[in-house]
Amino acid sequence: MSTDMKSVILYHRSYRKIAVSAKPFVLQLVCIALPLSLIVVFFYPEITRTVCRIAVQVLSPYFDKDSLRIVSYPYIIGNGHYLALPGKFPSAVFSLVNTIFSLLMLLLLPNINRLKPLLILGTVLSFILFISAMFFLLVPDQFPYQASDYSDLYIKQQISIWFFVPVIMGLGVLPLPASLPSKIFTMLISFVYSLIFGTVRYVVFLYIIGKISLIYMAVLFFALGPLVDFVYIVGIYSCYTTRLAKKIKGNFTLWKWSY
Amino acid sequence: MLLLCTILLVGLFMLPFLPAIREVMRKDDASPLFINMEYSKDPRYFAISFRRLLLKSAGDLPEGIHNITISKSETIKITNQADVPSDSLIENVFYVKNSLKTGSKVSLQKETYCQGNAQIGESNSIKAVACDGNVDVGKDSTFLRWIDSEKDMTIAENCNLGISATCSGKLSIAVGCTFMRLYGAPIIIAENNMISPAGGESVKYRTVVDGAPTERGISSLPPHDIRNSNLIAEGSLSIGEHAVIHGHIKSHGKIVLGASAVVMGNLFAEKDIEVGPGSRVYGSIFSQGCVKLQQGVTVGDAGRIKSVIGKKGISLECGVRVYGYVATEGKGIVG
Amino acid sequence: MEVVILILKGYLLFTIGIMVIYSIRHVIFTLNRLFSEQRIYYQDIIDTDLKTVSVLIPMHNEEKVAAHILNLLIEADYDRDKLEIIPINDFSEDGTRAILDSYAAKYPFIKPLHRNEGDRGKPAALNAAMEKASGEIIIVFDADYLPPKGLLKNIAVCFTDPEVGAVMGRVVPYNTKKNILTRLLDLERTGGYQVDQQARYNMKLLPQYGGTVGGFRRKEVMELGSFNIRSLAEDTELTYRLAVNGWKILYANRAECYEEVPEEWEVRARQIRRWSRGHNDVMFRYFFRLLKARHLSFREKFDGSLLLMIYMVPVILLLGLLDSLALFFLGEMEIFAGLFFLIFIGAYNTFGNFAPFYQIGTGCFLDGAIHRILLLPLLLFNFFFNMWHITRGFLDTALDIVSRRKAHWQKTERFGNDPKVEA
Repeated sequence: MSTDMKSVILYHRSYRKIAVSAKPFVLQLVCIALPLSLIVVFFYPEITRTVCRIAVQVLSPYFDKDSLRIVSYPYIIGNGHYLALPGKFPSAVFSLVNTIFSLLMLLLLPNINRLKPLLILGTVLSFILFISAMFFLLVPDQFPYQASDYSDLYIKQQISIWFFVPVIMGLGVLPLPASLPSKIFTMLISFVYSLIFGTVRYVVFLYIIGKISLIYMAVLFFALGPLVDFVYIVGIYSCYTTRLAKKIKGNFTLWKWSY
Repeated sequence: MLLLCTILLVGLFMLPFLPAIREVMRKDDASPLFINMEYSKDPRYFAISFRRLLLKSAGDLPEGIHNITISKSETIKITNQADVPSDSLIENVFYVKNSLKTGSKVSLQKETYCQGNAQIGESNSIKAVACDGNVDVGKDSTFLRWIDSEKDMTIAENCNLGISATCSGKLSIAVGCTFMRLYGAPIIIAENNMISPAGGESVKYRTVVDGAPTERGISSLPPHDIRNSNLIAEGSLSIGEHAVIHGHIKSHGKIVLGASAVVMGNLFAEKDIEVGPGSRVYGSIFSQGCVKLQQGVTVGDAGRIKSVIGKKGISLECGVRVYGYVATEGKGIVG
Repeated sequence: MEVVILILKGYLLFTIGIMVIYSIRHVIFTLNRLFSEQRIYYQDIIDTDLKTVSVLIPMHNEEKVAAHILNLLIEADYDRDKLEIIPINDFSEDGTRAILDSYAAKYPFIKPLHRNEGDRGKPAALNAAMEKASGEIIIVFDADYLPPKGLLKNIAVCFTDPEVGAVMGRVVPYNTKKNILTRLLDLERTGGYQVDQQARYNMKLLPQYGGTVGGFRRKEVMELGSFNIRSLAEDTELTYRLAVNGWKILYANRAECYEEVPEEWEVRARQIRRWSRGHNDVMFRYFFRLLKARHLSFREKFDGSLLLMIYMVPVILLLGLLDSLALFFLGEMEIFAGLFFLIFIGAYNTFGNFAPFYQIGTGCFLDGAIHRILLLPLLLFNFFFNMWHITRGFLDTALDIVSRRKAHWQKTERFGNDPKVEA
């Protein structure tokens, strides 16, 4: 028989499935994703200390000498580190300006008919800012956090983000019919991306809290925190899956039909 | 340094959006998913489609070798009548305007269309054949894709029938053949090899009443039982010999139908279905597992098309008759 | 104050728990769709004894699209002796009536029903048509749908199974090229049908009858009280009504049909708000009935409950976010800082756009699509949009229940002047 004699029917997409079992996926999740997450568990003291050192390096020209201090504290199984720094407490006028501005945004944005999803995001940011500004306007003494507290909260949140990123990415890419090195590489990329992103975000946000105003702490913590991390997780996943889909197009040996 | 950090932060945040924005602007993949609006379930689809395309391209061409376009560019050999000697190899699409006869161990590597009768020799290896007349296939032949006849088809022992073997008339298949899809009116399996005679003929067909009562929670019926209802079993269901069910049967496990039982309606099972010798099922049979029709089972009735679908496999023993369609994504075995 | 803080913390843990449960559910569905044995539908059955069918097409001011669907249904390969088409002119004020009458004059099996009195809206229109219909099976299409030739047979064939009460096919947007919204909705449909519905069908859970590209048994549904004319999600209501009465709902991934998705955000917002209002109303009516249903397995009840609550999840999440905001300003976020991320894992995995990103990615992958997968990061912007409008829908439901006000049907605006599929 000549090789161009086809004995397969190109199956419809409705009951197509990939021609491997779930066992390799489970194994890879346990052997690749979990160890990457465990790196965070076992090395977060070093990671957080390094992040703090980078923050000190970058922020020291903007703060008084000795006002930046790396604090070490017991956290889970080791010592976590965060950067203690002075915060910029908003004046009454500043709080009032932010209150008015955020209120105006809350009233204006919902009435604009274009770019609805972006505007809703803007409305959410405005709402959080409004709450924060009102708090500082009405009961400024009751605000429970200093800049250092935010720094501490951020680091704790970031540790859990770093822990979960390999797991989430693993759940996304490991089931796909691709080579193991490419999956490992993608997960490493996402892990390194989260480390870098978390660090630069830390530095910039600390600057905002320390030099601009504490009033933005809630916005930074809630709206520009973990939700934003999903952007790069999904972005890396989508690029990887697109490349894979392009690569395997026309390769019918990868598919089975129904069972 | 802070400025660099800020730029890096904004950059790392925006970077994942860039491929998305690019796709929004370029619309490389913005078309809707393709749905074939003309798709209509037809067991003889491949052959009918092939005939139509070939006649459109080559219907008026004289005998000889020509270049045509069917789904792609092909060479076609056109002849009035063909008697292909043993051990021959034909690499072209083959169009025979009258009858076709092949010797043994002939290889037809492309599709063949015969407008007369076709007599395929033993141990032939054929990609696909569409025939407007009767077809006789010798033993040990292999069809890679499909074989179709507008009239009757007779398949000898140990043939591999490829993806589909279909005909408008009677489809007779001998023992040892393998298949995926069959269609015939009826499909008759190795009648001459049957040991026990067909049973269940004494019970006349009665249409299943719409809105018939439903019995649930049954796991077995005794022999000679008669039920005038649909049966739904949460687990496996075993039906005794000579039982008569005037209804449809659905099981979330396995169905075992005893010998000479009669079912007026359809059989559905999440697992295997086994139909005992001489039984009669007037409806369709559908299993997410395997279907085994033992000797002398009849499915359907003259003038009414029914189906036997076994996702993982179908076994048809001698004397089985199916009025209609048989399909599996696993292995179909005869005998 | 301590009690308040305790309640707030408890609620945050509850929110995290809910998000984790839904995340696990979606992971299981995605893995099932990729790896597990796929339970096939009955599309391979060829049977000359198919039941009689009445195709119902509710139409309110559908002059733009009426002819298109009728032209396609005329080409359907269903036995004409067993087929009737009943376009329902529901209080139209445009040229719909004239169009339907012209088709009726030409084709005896097209039998329009013109309604100018009684309750308005899709459920009422369907009820009126079911009274008139003679088919054993009802197949419903919205007016903007484009059914392929073999679709009616594909849908009707499953009713040869005595346990099947309803079936739902797969909906595929055809106006994907219009703008970013239609493309994102196309992704949503892919995740929801190719993966979510099919996985629920594989695992013998509860696929949802979606009110269009689907069918049900006429007599049995009428015996169960037909459609609830007050419901804005009559399809969801029918799903659960059939399920608690022992009927199975199938999902036919092979039964594909083109539809038009909203092209404007405002229209989408109204649609999603209506779905939420209707679905949450069904949730309040059927939650306990589902748990008490005799014919359903534990799995069906469990997943059916999760499905019922799906339009409440964004509300739970929104309250969770407000809750965490309150805890933040009360100085109580310390303990939750590490867990807070779990909310977003759950949220984004639960309804990135009604399906988590990896579910949509998997669906696209299975469909053989390539570059559209790159659009996934844009789902971020839908996150708050969906959450907001679903919450509004939920509040509508709460107000409906408290004030006993009646919901009024709102048709989704059409856009297509010539619904042609652009390749």
